[in-house]
Amino acid sequence: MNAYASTDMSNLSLSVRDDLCGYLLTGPESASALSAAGLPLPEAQLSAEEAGGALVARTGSDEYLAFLPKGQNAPACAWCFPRADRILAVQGEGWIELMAQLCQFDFRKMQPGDWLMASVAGVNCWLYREQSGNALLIGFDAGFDHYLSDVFNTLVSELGGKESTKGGAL
Amino acid sequence: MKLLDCPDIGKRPISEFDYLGEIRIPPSDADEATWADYVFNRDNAPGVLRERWYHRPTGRWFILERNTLTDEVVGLVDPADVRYKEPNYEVPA
Repeated sequence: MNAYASTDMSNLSLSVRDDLCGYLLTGPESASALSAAGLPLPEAQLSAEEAGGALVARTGSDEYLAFLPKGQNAPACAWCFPRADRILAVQGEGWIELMAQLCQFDFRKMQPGDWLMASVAGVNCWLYREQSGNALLIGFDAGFDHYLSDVFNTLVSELGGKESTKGGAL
Repeated sequence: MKLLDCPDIGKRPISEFDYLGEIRIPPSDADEATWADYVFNRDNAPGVLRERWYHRPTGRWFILERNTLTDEVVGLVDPADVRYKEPNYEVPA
């Protein structure tokens, strides 16, 4: 029996989150730099917290990924490096079925606020399910943008959703 | 789909991992026969091995104890437990 047979796909949508700037913070000063910038500080490794439009994930003992709204200053830290992630956002009831075709993780377990690093369509990605709005953010190296955007757009179209952009790029 | 049940990050597809092989402590101050045995020979007997695995999406290295007979991961090893002192090599004049 198909567990997703009754899912309504018509409201599935894909957008680009180019309103966020990514940074990698590493080293013993990373946590204090985040705190000084007023950013959230996740306690557990491989977890994330969001506040004020910013998303911070802890990816190691003293390593963090921070995604800040455009225009916000980067945390003041010698070991803070800008990243060039492309971030897609999937919304709608059919997101689990969409992701089931691209990633082997069981997304039925993924709750709002959960952080995951996994392979999506063969590309190493980070995934975060927003607390509000329930969008699934998918971040990856921008070098894979052409490939992954094409894959996502095709699947969203096949599943009956629509593509959109957010951030004023077009 | 084959899964690797990592004690740290949970069950993940084996395709997300790179296998780096068994952890073996090299002999120090050994004769050539001992070194040749270390370099070229393996026991290849089923049992629990300590192996290095690399999970690409998280960029994490793991040392797992895996039963190669049952393909069951039985434990996560602290890297300090497999650390060894590198021998002092003298460069021939």
